[in-house]
Amino acid sequence: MIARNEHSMGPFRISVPKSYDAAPERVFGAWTDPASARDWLAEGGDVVMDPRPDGLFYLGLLHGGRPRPHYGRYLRVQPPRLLEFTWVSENTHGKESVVTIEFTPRAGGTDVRLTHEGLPDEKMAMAHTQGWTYFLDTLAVRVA
Amino acid sequence: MSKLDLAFAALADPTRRRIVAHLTRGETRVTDLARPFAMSLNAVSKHVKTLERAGLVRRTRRGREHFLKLRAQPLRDVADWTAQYERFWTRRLDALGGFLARQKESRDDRPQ
Repeated sequence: MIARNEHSMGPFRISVPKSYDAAPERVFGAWTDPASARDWLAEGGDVVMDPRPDGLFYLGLLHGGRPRPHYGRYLRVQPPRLLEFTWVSENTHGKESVVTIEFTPRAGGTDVRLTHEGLPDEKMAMAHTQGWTYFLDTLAVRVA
Repeated sequence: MSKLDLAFAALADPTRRRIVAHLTRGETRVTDLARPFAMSLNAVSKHVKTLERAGLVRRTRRGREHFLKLRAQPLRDVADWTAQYERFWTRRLDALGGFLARQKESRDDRPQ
């Protein structure tokens, strides 16, 4: 397995579930086919992809009329069940965060869970700690 | 450093996170805070100062006692910051749903 660069990773993690009425092969393919990704992910911006472990991708996500560079390398490519890549953007301050997408088949469709972890804080030297996400979630609820 | 930077920096320390978690139960005397953490009052005071600078807690003095209270806004800012990513991916995953639906339609339209 391709190693993550744990030292450059921040302490934050988010997880987003989504359900689709399409087979895992099609949902997975929409992530790894450049023409498809150009349509829904990059919103018409430039897409370069080499979906194999350590292959690179570049997305010029169009946002507010100008391309925002996002790039990374694939860590795990296991069609049609698992896709994992690093994610670098101006928001990650040039550091690698990691996006993991799990595709679980169900009757007539696919359940997807996208997890984005290693989101950087403003001080990358900080050690990330177990339980931090739980802490933040609990706190967000309590202070809401 | 911005307010958010200070909040992140203050919360990067596990002891300070435990202090903040403790304060979610309500106002606490600084002396009572030292006890469950098995720390000297001096050590606790240092952590409290860092939290104060980040605007995460407010210290009030009544007589000889110092009381600590949690301030919610910086914590909300931290939560909002991570929520930006959640919104980004939620929008993108929704867009993928639209794409898959269009793809299916154009397939169905194809002459048999």
